[in-house]
Amino acid sequence: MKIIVCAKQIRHTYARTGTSPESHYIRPEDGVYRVNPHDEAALELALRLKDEYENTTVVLLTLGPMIAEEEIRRCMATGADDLYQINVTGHPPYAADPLDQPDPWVKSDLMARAVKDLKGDLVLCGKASLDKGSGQMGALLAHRLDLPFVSAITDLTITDLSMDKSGGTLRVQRSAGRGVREIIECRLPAVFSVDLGRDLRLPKFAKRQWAEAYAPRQLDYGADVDAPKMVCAHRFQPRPRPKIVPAPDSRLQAYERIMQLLAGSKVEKKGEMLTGSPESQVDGIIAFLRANDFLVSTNADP
Amino acid sequence: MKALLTSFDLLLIAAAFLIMAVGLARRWSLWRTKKPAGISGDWQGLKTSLLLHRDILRRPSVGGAHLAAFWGVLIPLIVIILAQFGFIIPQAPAKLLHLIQDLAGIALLTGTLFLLFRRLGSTDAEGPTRTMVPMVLLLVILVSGFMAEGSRLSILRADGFPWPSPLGWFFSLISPTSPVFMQMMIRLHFFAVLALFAAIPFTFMRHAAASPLNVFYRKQGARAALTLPSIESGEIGAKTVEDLSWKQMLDAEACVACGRCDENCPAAISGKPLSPRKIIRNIREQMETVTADQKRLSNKLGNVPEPPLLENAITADEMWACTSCMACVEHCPVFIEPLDKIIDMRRYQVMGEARLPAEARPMIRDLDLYGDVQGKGVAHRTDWAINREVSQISRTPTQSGSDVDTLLWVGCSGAFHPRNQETSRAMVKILKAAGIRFAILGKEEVCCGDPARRLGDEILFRKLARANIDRLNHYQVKKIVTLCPHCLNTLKNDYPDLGCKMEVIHATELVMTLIRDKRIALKYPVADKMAIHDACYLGRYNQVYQPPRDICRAVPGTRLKETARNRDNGFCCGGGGGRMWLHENIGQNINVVRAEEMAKTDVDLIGTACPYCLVMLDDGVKSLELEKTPKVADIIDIVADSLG
Repeated sequence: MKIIVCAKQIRHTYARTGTSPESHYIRPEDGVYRVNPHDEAALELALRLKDEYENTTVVLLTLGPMIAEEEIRRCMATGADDLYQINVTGHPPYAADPLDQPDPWVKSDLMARAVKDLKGDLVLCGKASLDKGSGQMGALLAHRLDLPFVSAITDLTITDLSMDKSGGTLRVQRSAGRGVREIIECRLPAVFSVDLGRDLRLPKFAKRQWAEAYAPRQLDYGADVDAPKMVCAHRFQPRPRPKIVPAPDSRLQAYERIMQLLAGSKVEKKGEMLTGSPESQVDGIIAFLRANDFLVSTNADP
Repeated sequence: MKALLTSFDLLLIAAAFLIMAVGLARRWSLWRTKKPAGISGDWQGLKTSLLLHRDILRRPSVGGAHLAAFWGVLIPLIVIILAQFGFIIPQAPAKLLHLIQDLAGIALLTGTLFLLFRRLGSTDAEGPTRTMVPMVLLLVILVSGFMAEGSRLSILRADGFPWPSPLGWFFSLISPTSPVFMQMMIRLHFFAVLALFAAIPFTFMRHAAASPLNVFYRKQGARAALTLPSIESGEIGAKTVEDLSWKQMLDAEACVACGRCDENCPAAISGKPLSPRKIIRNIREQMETVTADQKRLSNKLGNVPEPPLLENAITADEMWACTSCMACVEHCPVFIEPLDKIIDMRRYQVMGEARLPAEARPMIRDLDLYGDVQGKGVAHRTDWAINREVSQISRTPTQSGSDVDTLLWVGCSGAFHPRNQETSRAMVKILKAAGIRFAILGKEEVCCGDPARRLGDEILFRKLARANIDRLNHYQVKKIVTLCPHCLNTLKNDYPDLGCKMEVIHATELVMTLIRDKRIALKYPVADKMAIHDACYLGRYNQVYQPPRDICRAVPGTRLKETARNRDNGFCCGGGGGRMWLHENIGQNINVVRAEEMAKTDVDLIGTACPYCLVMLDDGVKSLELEKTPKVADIIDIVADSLG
């Protein structure tokens, strides 16, 4: 049996400590490059099947540039057999997307072709990604491959592995929300999206060395892909979370302490002080509003 | 004594020594082939620890008995060997020598009897109690020797009390006046001595050969430093005994199972299955198996069986119970280190087999991804310093950081744990009050790697250490002061192996010098009665015992009380060696054991200098539900409070 696990390499932004609105208050050190944790959980489920059944191969499938190479190699080291990378370098730039990513329709086209080429019996992908969170990949893949789809599974067992015409059967547990669980029986081949739950195992040293030297296999479908069906027009970052401001030094005067507290709470508002004449300040404010799309009306005279 | 040896006797002596040499060579073949040539030993250590028995005498009664037995064998042996050369010495010195001989015999007799009765009365199944043969042999040697001396005296019929041989005189009262009997006794004495020598490799007495050797080759350099395996060439810890270094094998040979490690091991005391002594014994037993297998191969061709796995003998519960407090290493009289074997076994379990306890996995993952044990990420590493004007080394005027005297190493606890953040701010206050130009690495600092290293994840430790060393070298840091003893130990003892050598001191050491140089003055009282909890990584690892005490004495109106176990006897809080992140399911909780002991001292305030100890002890004293719970505070906080 061949299990294909779709692994997305993401930049996970966990903090907003920057000061400039252009970068959405995000500094380079505010994020880490990693493999989407839901996809890691999917890999773990696949590896558990591999532990149990011989002749099972686990193939990782990733799309786009290797931005989290160290992490995806770590995933390889945990026990996957192969890594296929779908090349998107020849594609028209996805500049319309704030994260430079293809839209789910395009992605599912590429991935579905890869799954067909690799002849996967079971496709696992994460329920959603930490950077986009659209959660469409599994469903769209199933649609394009005309396969059954179960979302948000947390456990997976094989009940019948007779890989004949009728295919094997699987029993999956999915979380239906609010603590409700469903056990679903499903025929192979199938597509499942995996919810968090099973932490990915640690790599063993021997496999780790193999993964260090492993050269990912390339899949290239050229520029001949479906046209995007939707586009993300805006991506808003939330306001930075208020921080706990440490108590000011008790030896200071009350006035200074209050000022420090205020300064501390203002740290996150990250304002820019405008100087100069009132006119130039007004210009500055309008320029700022315009630049950040707060001001879209054309009535205001520039 | 005067009879020169016949050639037959010489043959016997040669045979006895041959048996001893061949026995030892066979037994030791495993580690001797691994030992690199040209390793220099420690002569000074031999003097203090072997001749003077400094470390054995930490237990006065049993150590004294051993000292008496040691010299009681060595002196007569030397004298008798010299006597065979037929020197002619004047009457008076000869008599004196005779007296010394007799006294040494008395010492040996006392020591042997003490040790014998101790063995008879002991209930310790693992200890040296099972080794009666050498004791009996020693007694035979003693009794036959004194009987021979006694009958010689009674044959001579000297007038009055023969002062050179007081005990010999006593024996002359009960021994027959027969030269044949004397000869028989001399023969018996001689054979028993030879038997003792020949038995060295095969009995408990092999410690007489292995332990001095182990003292001689004791670990040089920082005792706290762990070995740096070359991971690239596949050294990923100890799977079988063959993965151990020659010194680790010699350690196992040198152990007499005296049990001082067990008596001081916090895990063993609190009812965990870990026993450092058992670990050493298991390793020795497996070494014996491997040596036997190799011998079988050299005799007849055949497949050598795979060496047994260490984990067959040493369970996961044992190896993960270690808090790496180093009490076993501190208390071993012959410098055996159970700790580095436990770490090596953990390394193999984690790197080779990916068997890390599940509780610690999220922490290790956070370390890997975010660079700190709490998973908050480097972006938040300077949050504790908001409002505090702490200069970051990257923003100091000169890029090399030459404007900065000292780098303050905050550490994960100091940067993220709400309680230790207070300590970090307190340290900033002290440094500013003393006018020290300092800076922090800020967002360029990541975890020093201690939790990963002590849990056996050497690969992760390297990754973190390399990142830190790169930054430290970039800013040409000369001096570091750390808030956490674990960071101190890692930076001071572990980083030099990776090419980063600089002065690293702990905050308490720095504060102590500041107080002594009158650069800060402690004005306000903090507590009436306080006690110090010695952090293992500060005390036993780095010998910083005095500064925390001196600091607390400098706080006005504070009376310092010592707990029952302090300084090098100090009891671990239970948080070291990665135990901070592991569950404690077996036996008592170590922190509660320690908290009970500290609470018994009747103090208002418990001072410690380690963020882990702080958390563990605070939990401990609170769980005791006393009427008056002592406060637990970091010593740096105490100083800052006392500054006003």
